[in-house]
Amino acid sequence: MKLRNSRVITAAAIGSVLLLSLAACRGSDTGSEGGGGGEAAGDDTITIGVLATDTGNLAFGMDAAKEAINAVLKAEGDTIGGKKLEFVYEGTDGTSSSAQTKVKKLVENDGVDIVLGPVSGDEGETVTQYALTVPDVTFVNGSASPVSQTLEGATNFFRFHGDSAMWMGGVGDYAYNEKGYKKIYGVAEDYSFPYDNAGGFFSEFCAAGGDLTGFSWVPVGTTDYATIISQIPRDVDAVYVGLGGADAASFLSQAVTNGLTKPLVGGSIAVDPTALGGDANIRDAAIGTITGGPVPGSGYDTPEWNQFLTEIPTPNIFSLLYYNSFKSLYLGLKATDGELGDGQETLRDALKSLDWDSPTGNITLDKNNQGIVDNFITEVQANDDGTLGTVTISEDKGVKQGTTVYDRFESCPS
Amino acid sequence: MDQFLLVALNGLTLGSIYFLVASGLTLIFGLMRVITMAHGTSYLLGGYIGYSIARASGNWLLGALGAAVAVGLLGLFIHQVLIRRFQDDDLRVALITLGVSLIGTDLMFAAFGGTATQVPIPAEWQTALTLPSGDRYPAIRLIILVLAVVIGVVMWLVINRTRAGSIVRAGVDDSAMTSATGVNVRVVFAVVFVVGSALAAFAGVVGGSLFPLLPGQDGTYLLFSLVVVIVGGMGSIPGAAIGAALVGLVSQFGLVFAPTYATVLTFALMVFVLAFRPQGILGRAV
Repeated sequence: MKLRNSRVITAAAIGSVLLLSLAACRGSDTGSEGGGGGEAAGDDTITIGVLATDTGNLAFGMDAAKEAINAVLKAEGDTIGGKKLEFVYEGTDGTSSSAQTKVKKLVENDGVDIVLGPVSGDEGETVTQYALTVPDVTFVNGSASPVSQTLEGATNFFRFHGDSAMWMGGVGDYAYNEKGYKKIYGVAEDYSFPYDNAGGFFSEFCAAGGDLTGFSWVPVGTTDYATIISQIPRDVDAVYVGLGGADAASFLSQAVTNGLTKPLVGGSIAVDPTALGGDANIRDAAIGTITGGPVPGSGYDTPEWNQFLTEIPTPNIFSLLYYNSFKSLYLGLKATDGELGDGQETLRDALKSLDWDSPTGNITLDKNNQGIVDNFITEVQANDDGTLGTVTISEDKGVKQGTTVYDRFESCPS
Repeated sequence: MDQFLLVALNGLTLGSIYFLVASGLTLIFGLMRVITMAHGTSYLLGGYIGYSIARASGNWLLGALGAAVAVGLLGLFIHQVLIRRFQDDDLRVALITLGVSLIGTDLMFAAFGGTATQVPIPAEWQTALTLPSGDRYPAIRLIILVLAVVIGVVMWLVINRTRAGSIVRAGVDDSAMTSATGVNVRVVFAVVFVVGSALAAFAGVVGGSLFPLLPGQDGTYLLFSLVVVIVGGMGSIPGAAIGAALVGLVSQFGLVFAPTYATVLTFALMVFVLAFRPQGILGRAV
């Protein structure tokens, strides 16, 4: 009987490998909606491949993307110039490798005309690199926000929202001058989006006179923050939390149980409605957290935003960005009456000259196909009904992209 | 408190959760030699069921018990209907349970969505206790540590010191001979499978009280419990405890000294142990 041990381990190993590889492919059959999959699109359809996360700490990305796309289609219809829009959805786990597999599947197997997505930072860098190799396909970014994406020279790649450094614009000054934070310790996930997001904040905070005393860059998907919290020096004024999704929710709830009393500065997805609306008790840690990003808090009142809230009553950062991205694409297609043109040039020219009032302000593109957009500083507060929400502190109009690409840093970025 | 001791305590409390998950797997996989790829599914499903019950009833314990019973019954179904006939065909069992886990992953995603949830815990657990050293430490983590130790000791006593335990061990070592002595081995195996699944579900509720429940954690916890069982030595409860403590400590100290590589270090531990002691730390030699 003992001889079975080695066979058992072999079978377990094979099983584990299969589980991992199948889990990576899992999304491929979960969301194919519309009949475009597997065949080259005919003349009377435009096939759009959608990449979004459905596993991992940002697993709610897929739901958000679908909600956004369906809201636009419901309001505008799914046919442009007699051509029907068809969608192939592919789920990823937020990593480069999964994004690469799925984007190749969409372009090379499904033959989509346009790719919309992805959600997360490293995925975005991978998809941009891939876009450079397939010039005949147009890529509209979903919500990925590393600075570098629109600096790679991919003329078939468009981003209708800010990058993550832009998102923190103004927060560093606000933290130093208004909140009076002089020394800050940082905790963030170890990948491209938090680098740029934190870079945007600390470059401004440090220029104002503030000091970054140290940084813990943790692996994505870290759920146990007890040790990280115990690393935070006692003499800092605040803690920068560049975490997202489930990681942020974990940190906030453990900040409460571990008795962390420092005020927080959130990265752009740390105190998103998703984290605030969760079931964990994060109240004591979350209230008073300031952050910057593309999602306004309460007090923001424009006709476009109010209309958007009737379509998506409780938006999160991903549903908002996918909405703005897909609506931009939709308006571009509408401008050409569904005509993509030779090498899709007609569509791309239309996208380049877009100028429209989105739910969160005017959107135009710069020469790198990067959005020039509005940006918001918000603070977490308790709503009258006891739930947590954000309130808009200030709004910055027409924010343009900088050119600094950040990497991991432990002290003030130069 | 000394930073080192604090991190060590964090490692041990994290290891407690790994131990609770892996204790079920050490019964099913380690002892019975049945390869279940659905163990992570039991963990996550247990967590979700516990979350639903605890949220509806406001009673954490009810949630934990409900989850253990429900997933235990599911385990009975998987064992009796799906894999019993093929119990000696390792690869086939692995593939069947792999299928169960993939179906389970998608069903749970459809039912509970992609947003992270956490099992609500009683407010009095969400405080900090004062340790003998004078430092404050979250009560919930200490409760989990105690829970893991109690469950571990009980399991060890049952398996090694009771008649029921010796029947299980005899059934695993030589099922034909055990049957010949009048023991219904089929029932024994079914019971072990049910208990193993129920333990995973219970671990899901405990883990889901400290950390969020979300898609993908089924795979993560399956992997961690496989690492724990393999490092500790298959079928050994003390081995699983040592394995879990090591994995917990390595990942926490990893976060301090080499945060970027914290995840890699956990698997490096497995590679290291397997290289020098292929049967695991307390495993019987092959």
